[in-house]
Amino acid sequence: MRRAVAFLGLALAACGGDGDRSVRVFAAASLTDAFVEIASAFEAEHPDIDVELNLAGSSALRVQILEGAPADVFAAANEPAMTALVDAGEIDGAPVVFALNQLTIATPADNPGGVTELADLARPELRVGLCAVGVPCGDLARDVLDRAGVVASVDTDEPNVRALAAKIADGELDAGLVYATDVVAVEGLASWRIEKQTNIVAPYPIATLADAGPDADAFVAFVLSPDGRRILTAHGFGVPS
Amino acid sequence: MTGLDAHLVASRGCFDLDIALRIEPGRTAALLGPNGAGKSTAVDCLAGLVALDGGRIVLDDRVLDDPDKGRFVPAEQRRLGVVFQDHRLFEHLDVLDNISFGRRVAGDRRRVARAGAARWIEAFQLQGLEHRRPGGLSGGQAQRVSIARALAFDPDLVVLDEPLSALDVEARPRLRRELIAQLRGHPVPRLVITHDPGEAFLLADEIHVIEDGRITQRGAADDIRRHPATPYVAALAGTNFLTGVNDRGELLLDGLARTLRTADAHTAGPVLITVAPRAISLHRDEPDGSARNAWPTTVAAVEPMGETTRIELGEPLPLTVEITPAATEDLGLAPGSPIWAAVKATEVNITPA
Amino acid sequence: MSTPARSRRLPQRPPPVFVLLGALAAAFFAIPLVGLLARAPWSDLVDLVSGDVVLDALRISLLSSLAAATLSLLFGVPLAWVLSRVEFRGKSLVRAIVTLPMVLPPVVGGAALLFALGRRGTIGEPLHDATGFLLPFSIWGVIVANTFVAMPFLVITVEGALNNLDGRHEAAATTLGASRLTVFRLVTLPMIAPSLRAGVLLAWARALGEFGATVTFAGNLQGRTQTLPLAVFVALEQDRDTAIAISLVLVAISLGVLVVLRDRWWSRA
Repeated sequence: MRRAVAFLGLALAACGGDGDRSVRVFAAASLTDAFVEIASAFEAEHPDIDVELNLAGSSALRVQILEGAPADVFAAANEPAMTALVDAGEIDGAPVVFALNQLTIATPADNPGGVTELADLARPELRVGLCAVGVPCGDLARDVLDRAGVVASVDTDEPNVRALAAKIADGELDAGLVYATDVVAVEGLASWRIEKQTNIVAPYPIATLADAGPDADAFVAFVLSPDGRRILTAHGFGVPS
Repeated sequence: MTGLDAHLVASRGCFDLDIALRIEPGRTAALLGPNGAGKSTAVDCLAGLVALDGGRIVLDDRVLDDPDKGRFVPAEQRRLGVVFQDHRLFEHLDVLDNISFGRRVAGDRRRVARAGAARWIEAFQLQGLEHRRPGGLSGGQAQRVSIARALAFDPDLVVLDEPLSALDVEARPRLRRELIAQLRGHPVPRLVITHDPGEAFLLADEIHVIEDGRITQRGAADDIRRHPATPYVAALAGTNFLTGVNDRGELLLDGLARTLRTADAHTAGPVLITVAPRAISLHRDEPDGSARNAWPTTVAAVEPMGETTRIELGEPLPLTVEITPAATEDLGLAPGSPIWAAVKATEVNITPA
Repeated sequence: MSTPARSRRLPQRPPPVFVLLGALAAAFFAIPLVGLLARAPWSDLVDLVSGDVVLDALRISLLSSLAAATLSLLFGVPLAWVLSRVEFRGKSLVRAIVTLPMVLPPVVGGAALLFALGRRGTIGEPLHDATGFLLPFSIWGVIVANTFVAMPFLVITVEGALNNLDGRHEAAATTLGASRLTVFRLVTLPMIAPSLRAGVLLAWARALGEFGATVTFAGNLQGRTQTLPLAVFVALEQDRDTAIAISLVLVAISLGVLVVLRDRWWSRA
């Protein structure tokens, strides 16, 4: 009997390995590939901590957190999403910009529409997609287009940037504005640079939440560390100096 | 018009049907038989819902089904009016629309067809029910509408499949009378399918008895009553049925001690014997007259049947007797009562076995 | 708990367990609705609801859901009839395929539609090359996506109803001279009318609420392909009040239809 209990205890201990230590990270969809790698690296360094990733549009995540979803760390694709949470008192301390992203024109690999510059997005015969208003990628795209003075003939406002990228890669759309990081992550896309003076750099802020667990700070520290920065640049992000 | 000339050969699973039917225009025939005898199969074959395997159906010189010649007229073109046992009125249509359905399908406009249905409303006394749905009709009313519907589109043959059996016993006599009134004088041949001998005897000019897929007897109602060919037919007529050997007018009954005298001394050998229940009289004391059969017996059971009373007699001759309730009372009959029974030799009918 | 005045009086009290579980189930459905009503921006509601976004979405939703219901009726009834009345090899496979959209996650359905009917799709590409016509990013794409998820409901309902008919009335109509098509029109259809209506209603409701397949296949553009559910989803990202207002419009339409039809459509005629 005693041996059975001991065996059971050992099995339970071996099972989780991590016990109950976990960090719940809510991160913008455009951070998907980078954060998956960062999470693995973090877990490798901290074998007893489990990283749970919740990846979605920044505004959707913002809404979830405001409605009480349990999160320890929030990494947003734009500052308004983060600011909304700061104003609501959900953030512990001050957010820090950990990555930079910018938009690029994406087309299918074979570029059937012959798109090379922003002005091409105004051509009515092309199928053009953007992210929806309220999604960071969408707001950014509209700002950039305004700056360039281009009125795009939009055929769809996709709810998140990966959905948009997928449709472009599949050839359903001729062109769209996605993040530079999406072009790295998604196969089948060709990208065309937007002129520097027109393009806008999007800062990505990260913060721990007010009711976060004890390991949240460790995760954020990892993201800001050289290891984290290396992973981010490998996926196409810029990093603040 | 030549009426119906049909030879129906069909098998369904392990059951097979092989019957011939001829019905003259203006005549009513009954197909009388127990359940499972093949009556429904016969209806389905005539209606065209089932194809024959052999034989032929000819109606008024039109060949409806001839498997040997590869001719088959589909059901919707046969012009048969079928009255089903369960009326099968269309629940979503009112009485007028139900009756006029056949004419509407034939191309009449709805208003014309509904107007034409008026004479059937009158014929079957359905006044006041024209706009009612079948759900609001009594069983008898529904069946009347069903019959009107089958007649209204002027069919070449009318088939009534157990037309009265779904009705309450009280409702039957009235509908039976209406049916007789409607069918009499109708130029078209009619076929009544039934398991009720009373229905067959009352409605039909000619009865065809079907058992196990074969016709076992044909004839007018009285013939069948008097000379039933099979135990089934005899039982139907409520007749007493016995078997025995005729020895010059003296019947030696199988399994019974007594003998009976019959007026027919010529038919020798094994015979089927029938005695109508009403032909047997009951007496308190030994009756007079030497030509009769008379014997003392006891009452085994007394069964009031409304207008008549059935008395089951016990040993030595267990026969069924029908007398009036008044007579039952006069004689003070009860189970166990001793009584004398008598029947004339002329009422003891025999047919060769 | 008080019982409504019009309910039937039972000869004895209902089993408490049933009442409790039933009440919990009813509450389960009522609570989200209550939550929605509680957070509704009542003072701004009229403004929000009469804005372009909502009106466009309303128009597209009604148009596409009604079109989907109609297409489901036109094609679904014959399909149900064939499944019910005709014997052929591979029937169970066909039935499984027809039922698949009911089980499949709508987004998967939308993706599948894209692979088949999109611009680079198996059928879509030759169609586009030949005629220049494209389903995605147009109202037709919305209608196709809606029909894809909605029709199975109608087919299943109608097939069930047809299976329940025993053919007696149809046989009677045949003897009265009706051809097969006439029998179907004058007898079969009226007899399955209650189930048919329920099927159409289910299909329409499913089409109205469809999101995953629509956004994946037809895209999302205000005024062209953005239906009410899509508008809610997008609005959630920007402005919760607008999202709630649009949600209330959807709830109002659905409740309105159900109340107007009441028992007539669910019970036997």
